[in-house]
Parts: sequence; C-alpha cells; structure tokens
Amino acid sequence: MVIPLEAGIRGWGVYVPRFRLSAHDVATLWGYDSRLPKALGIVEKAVAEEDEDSVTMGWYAAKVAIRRAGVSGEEIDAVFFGTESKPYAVKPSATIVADALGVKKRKLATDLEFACRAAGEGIRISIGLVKGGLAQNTLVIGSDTAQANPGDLLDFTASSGAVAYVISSATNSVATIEASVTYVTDTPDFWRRDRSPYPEHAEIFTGEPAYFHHIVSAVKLLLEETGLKVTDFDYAVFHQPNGRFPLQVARLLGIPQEKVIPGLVTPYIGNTYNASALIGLAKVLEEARPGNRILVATFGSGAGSDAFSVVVNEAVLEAVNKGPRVSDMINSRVQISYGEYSKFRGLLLRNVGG
Amino acid sequence: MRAHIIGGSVVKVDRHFELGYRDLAYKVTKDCLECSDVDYVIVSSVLPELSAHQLDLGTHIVQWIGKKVPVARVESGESSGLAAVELAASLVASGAYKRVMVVGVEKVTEYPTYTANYFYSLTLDYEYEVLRGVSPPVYAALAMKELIKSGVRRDCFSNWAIRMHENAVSVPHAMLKFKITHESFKDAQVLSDPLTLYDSFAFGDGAAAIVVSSTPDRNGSSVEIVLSKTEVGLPAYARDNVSDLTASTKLLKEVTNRFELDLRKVAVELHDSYTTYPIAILRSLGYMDDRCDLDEFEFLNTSGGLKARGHPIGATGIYQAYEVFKVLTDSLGGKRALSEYGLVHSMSGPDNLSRVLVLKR
Amino acid sequence: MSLKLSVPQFWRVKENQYKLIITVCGECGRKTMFKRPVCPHCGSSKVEYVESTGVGVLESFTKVYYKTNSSEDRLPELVGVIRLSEGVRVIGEIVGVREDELREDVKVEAVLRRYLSDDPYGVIYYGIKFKPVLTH
Repeated sequence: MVIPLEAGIRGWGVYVPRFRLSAHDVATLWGYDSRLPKALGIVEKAVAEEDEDSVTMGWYAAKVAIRRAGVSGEEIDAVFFGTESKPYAVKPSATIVADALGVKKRKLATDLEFACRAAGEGIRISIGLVKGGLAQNTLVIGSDTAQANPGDLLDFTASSGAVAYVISSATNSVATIEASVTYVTDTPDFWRRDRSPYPEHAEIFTGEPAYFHHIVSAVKLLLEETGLKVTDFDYAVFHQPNGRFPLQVARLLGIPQEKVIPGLVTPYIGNTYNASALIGLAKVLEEARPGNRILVATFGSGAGSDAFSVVVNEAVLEAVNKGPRVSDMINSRVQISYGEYSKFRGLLLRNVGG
Repeated sequence: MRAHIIGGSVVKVDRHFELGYRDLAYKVTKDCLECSDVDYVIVSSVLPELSAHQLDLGTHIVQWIGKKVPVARVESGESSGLAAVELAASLVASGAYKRVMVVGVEKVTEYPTYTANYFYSLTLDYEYEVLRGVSPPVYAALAMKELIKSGVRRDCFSNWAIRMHENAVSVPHAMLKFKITHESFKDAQVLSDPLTLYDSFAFGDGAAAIVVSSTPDRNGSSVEIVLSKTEVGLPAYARDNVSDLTASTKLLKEVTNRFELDLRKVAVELHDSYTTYPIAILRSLGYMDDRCDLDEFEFLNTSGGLKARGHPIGATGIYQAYEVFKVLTDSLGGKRALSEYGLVHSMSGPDNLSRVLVLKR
Repeated sequence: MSLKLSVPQFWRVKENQYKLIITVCGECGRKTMFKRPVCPHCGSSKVEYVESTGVGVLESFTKVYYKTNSSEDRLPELVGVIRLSEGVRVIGEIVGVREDELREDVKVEAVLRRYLSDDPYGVIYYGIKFKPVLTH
C-alpha cells in the first residue's frame, strides 16, 4: 500500500572543492600496501581550503539549487542542513546559509544529524511538509568536511563536498519522488564522541550489520510497498563510503553494475558524507532521460537508510544547464600534497587564537 | 597666514625599545629650545590606543613633560602630522594663542612586525577593505602593476628607493642610513607582488616637535606657513584606476600653479610610503616621463623620505615639516635649498585624503 | 575568555558581507561598491541599492605575502580587482585556485567563505570572496 507522495525535486546543486589528495600519497605516507586504494575503489578525494567549511560549501550548492528551481528566497519555507561537521556544536548552520541567500524570516530552519544520512532525512521531512501544505518549497542541504583520524583507513576517503535540493510539489518538480521508505535501528558501527576531533568505527562491523543490512532492508521495503522490481529502475545510486560497497550492495539486490556506475562519484572525489549519495543522484539527474526511474538509498551510521524512487520528467533537461554540472566539478581538479592537505584541514597542531 | 615655524627638534627614527610614548615626547621636547615657552600643545599620534593601551595621550603627555597648558590630540591616519600643523597654524593665526608646540610621537615596535602591519592596515576601511583581505601593500602593488602596464619600467620605482637611501646617509635622524642598489631588489622579500620590502617605508618609532608661532623668528631662521590645504579622495576600489591619486595630484597642481613652483627646484617632501606613490604623483603632474630621471630634482625628499628616514605614522608629518624648515633655514643632510618656498605633502592611505603645506622662508 | 571581535558589529555589517550591494547614484548615475548613504563621486544622497549577481571579470591581482597575524593560514593571499557584470569594480580575495594557475581576465563568481573567526571559542564571520568560474 503506497501513500501518494505528491512531492519532488524542483532544483539541485552541488559543490566539490577543486583540490585533490591522491589515495596513493595517503598509502605511501602511512605505510599502507600500494594496492589498497584499488581495493577500496578510491583514486583521490576532494579537500576543502582553510576558509571553507560545511556552511560555505552548503551555501554554494544551495545557490545553484535555487537557481535551477527558479524560486526566490521569499518562496522557501524551510531550510534543513544535514551535516556531521558543523562549524558550531551549538548554533545552526541553516540560518547562516538562509540569511546569506535571502531566504525569508518566516520559515523553519534546523541542522540535522544522523551521520551521513541527515540530508536524506531532510528530504523525507520535506515531503511531509510539502504534502501537508505547510511548505511550498524547502531547501535541503547535505554538506560535510568529513573528518578522519590521520593514517586511519578513513583518511583515504573522508572528503569535502556539498549538495542541495529544493523540494516542492510534484507539479513544480523536474523529478518526482514517487515513494520513499526509511529504515532505522540502533547500530553503533561508526560514531564520533563529543569533543573528539575524529570519528571511530568498528571496521568490518560497518559492513554487513550496518551498511548492507540497512540499505537492503530499506530498499526491500520500498519494493514491497510499491510493487516495483529492481528491473524497473534505470539507475541505482547508493551511499558511497568507498568505490566498492555500492557495487557490492547492488549485487546483493540483483542490480547490474552499469546502473550503479553513473552515480558512483566517490572514486574521484571521496566520501562527502552527507552529500555522498545525493551528489551521485545529482550526477544522474544531469544524464538521465525523461521517464527514467532512479533508485536512491542513503545510509547513515548509527544506523539508518532512506530508499527513494525518483522519476525524472521533461523539465529536468532545461534545469541541467542552469548551473555547473557534477561531471565538470569532478573534472576541475588540482592535486595537492599531504602537507597541503594537513594545512588546509587544520590537522597540524598550532598556536591559534592570536 | 600669520603662522611661522620657528624651531623644532627630532629624535632618530629607530627601534626605541627603551622609550615609550611619554619618554619619546619628553626627549624630543627637552632638546627643542623653542619648545620651552609655549601656550598650547597638539599631539599627533595614531597608535597609542592599540600599541600602548593609552587613551587621552595628549593629557598624559602634558602632565608628564610638565607643561600645564591646553592640549589636544589629533589623529588622521598617516596624514595626522599635517592635520596637527594645520590646526596649530589656525590657533596662532586666529590670535587665540601665541606659540603652539606640535609633537608627533609614535611607537610601532611594541609588538612584533606582523602586529604592527595589522595596526597599520587599520588605516584602511575595516569593514569594506581590511576584512576583505586588502592591506596597504595591496593597493600600492595593484597601482604599481597598472603603471608598469602603462609603460613605466619596474626599475623606475627601485630608483626612487635607491635615491631615498642615498639621501638618508647624511641625515642624522634617518632610520636606514645605508645605500642600496638594484641588486638589493633582486632578492628582496616580496610584500605583495610586484611590491617588495625595498619598496616600502621603514617602520620605526619616532618623535618630532615643531613650534608654530604667531611671529617670525627675529634672526630670520623661521618659515611662514603660507597655506595648508586638504583634498578628500575616492576610496581606491571606487576609482577607475587604483593609481589615480587624484586628490594629491589636484592639490599639488593647484599649489604649484598658484605659487609658480617647480618641484625640481623647491624643497619638497613627498609622502613615499611605497615607491609606487611618488612616481604616480610625479607622472600625473607631468614631471616624469619614461626616463624616470630623478637627478633633475634638487631638493626632493632630502630627508630620505618615508622610505629611508622612516615613517613613524603619526609623527611623520611633523618630521616632514621640520625637514623642509631645516633645509630652507639651515641645512639638512648637507644641503640647503635656494628656493624661497618649500612643500610638504602627506597622504592618508592610498590617497584617501591628501594634505599639502606650503612654507616660505 | 574575552571576545576580540564585536558580535554586534559583525551582525550589523552582515548584509554587505554576505551579498554584494551596489550603490547607484540617482544624480550622477555612477555606481559604487557597497552600501553607503551618499554617492562618493558627487555627494548626492539620492541613492538606490542593487544586489549584484556576483559574476565578473578579474582585471588584476597581486599575491600578498604581507603578514598581519602570527598564525596566518593562507599565504600568499590572492587579492584582486574584479569588474562585476553590473559595471562596477570591487576588490576581494580570489580563492579555489593555486597562485600559479590564476590569470588576469578570467571570469569569476562571488562565493561565501570564512573571513575570520574569533578562535578558539568565539564567533565565525563569513563574507564574499571570488572564485574563477568553472569552464565547461
């Protein structure tokens, strides 16, 4: 039994910093086997500069999303900022971006945290607001300057990037969200304690009981509730902590690789945490044909997954050219050293506050 | 105008770690004969609040040096000195006071150079310039680039610095009393390309005092303050070209026309915080072509200018006034000007505001 | 800990920092950057304000090595003059590009970046800088 959602994507925007740290350099510095990057499916990752943070990246993605959606600040009724790298532990990032973009004061605004799927939840909440008539348009941002303990396995992939979506009614959309399901349990696979600069994880436990179980469960529920089959989908975009997991979960679900590869961006830009799956979706929206159906599954440690079925319509073609494309951002790159990476991301111990 | 500079004194521009604001003020006034009998004190200083955590510096100075006379502190960024002289001249010309002591005093070495640089940057617009990453060398560099694009050779600017150092060698109170060459520029530290450390003023503490009197000196060793004029310019980012120093050009043109002055002959001190600016000014006044010949100027920045004599911000204008007074009535660096007139030019930042003082022997 | 930067001041100037506001003079027609009550060219108070799209061309720039802080994060800074598409000049920092990559005459766009933060516990101040536009 499916509840008609009557909501969709009106605009999207992405921001990926140009600077790249090669996985090979991480392996060399920290004494990992040189074959490890390939095993992880990672070539290089995007690195934000010193004066960037989740707010500044989220602002850019949101600006593009708003331009594609063709709405004004006066027409946005809610701003949700999904991140696990908030500049402030207490003080919302959503308000800074909203103010800088001229969003009206009469609105909802909040930061959401659920590891990498907070922005996904933002979309779920938006569907409810739009359908309930409490919002005409909402702005959902997923943005992270992902942290990794230097030398840890995560150092290969934890990267910086942002994505934003304007969610609106189906009639205003370039892609409708025809169905969505969220599956959440208490599963401590990856976490970051208060005041800890870097996250910790339970290594192989982050696989089967976490990533795979939750994505497969959410997707299976989606298929059950809608009556859709995996063959009904032209693309499948998954949360992508590395270049391998999405291909593995696709296999588990019986989805062929060719449907996954277009939305697989992590090998070239790293894992942008909250933006991960949703940048993949944006890339697919920029390539898809009207009528294509896209399966999207986010994953957030702790743990949960949102599965969406998105159907693209004619209006998407015009929207694509209204902003920079994901593929252009992936290709606009310049390599930096591990030293520069450390400097950019403040990994070096310094006397600051002078 | 019935106002005359009848004397003064200066302290060597240097890193005076052993002297604070009050000590410098005391030292310079103690050495100044004419300063003993004044009925008003004006203090010109820009950084005491930041450098020394001291408000109301004027009051604290007069208490310290034991002059129980009215006092006021003047601040107008880099052109504070000439602002102070202008007010002193007005006080005596109005008849309200007879002899005004103008003391310029500045401490720039209380904190490391990067902090002094930060303080100095605050002479720009904090909200619209400083926050955006604009510091004084940025404007001087962008202006230099414009001039180079329009045909001025890079070594034209280096020539200025070389000439300033040459002049400073024989000026006792100058900070950098050594020659430099074009070679020095090759390895010079870049501040903001193409501007190097050698294109920038010397940062040192200083104190200078002059006495402005309603009557000239009986022995003839005084100069009359004939004119003091100011022109407000445009913020550098609002100009067609950053190198359009229209306020300074307008003022200097007006004054040289009015008094029929040839800058090649008269005693003149130009505000050379960065080598870009005096070159830009001389070009716009028509004194300099692509040959960049400074040899034609007989008494230009005899002191060594801000570049080599030094630029103790709030005190600089007083140094300049003293130097022109000296070169007209006595000698400076072994030179004595034959001209009747002398000119002092000062700028606030990159010509945000320009001031000119015309002195006559 | 005591705040080094003023919270009210930064809140007050937010509009000019988050956006590029142009003052257009109703008297002489000239445009000047940033919001101001009076035209700096002709002195008239008959002014209007327009928000710039933030797109422009980098006319010239300089690499700044001048230190104003002991723990400067980003040196050299790239600071330049940008002519916005509205025909008015603005000055700002150029980001997202290595110093040896940047060229004059490139198209740039306004981006929000951190200006400064009252570390370690004070407020973070954001403002506009410029980034070369991605070429497709």
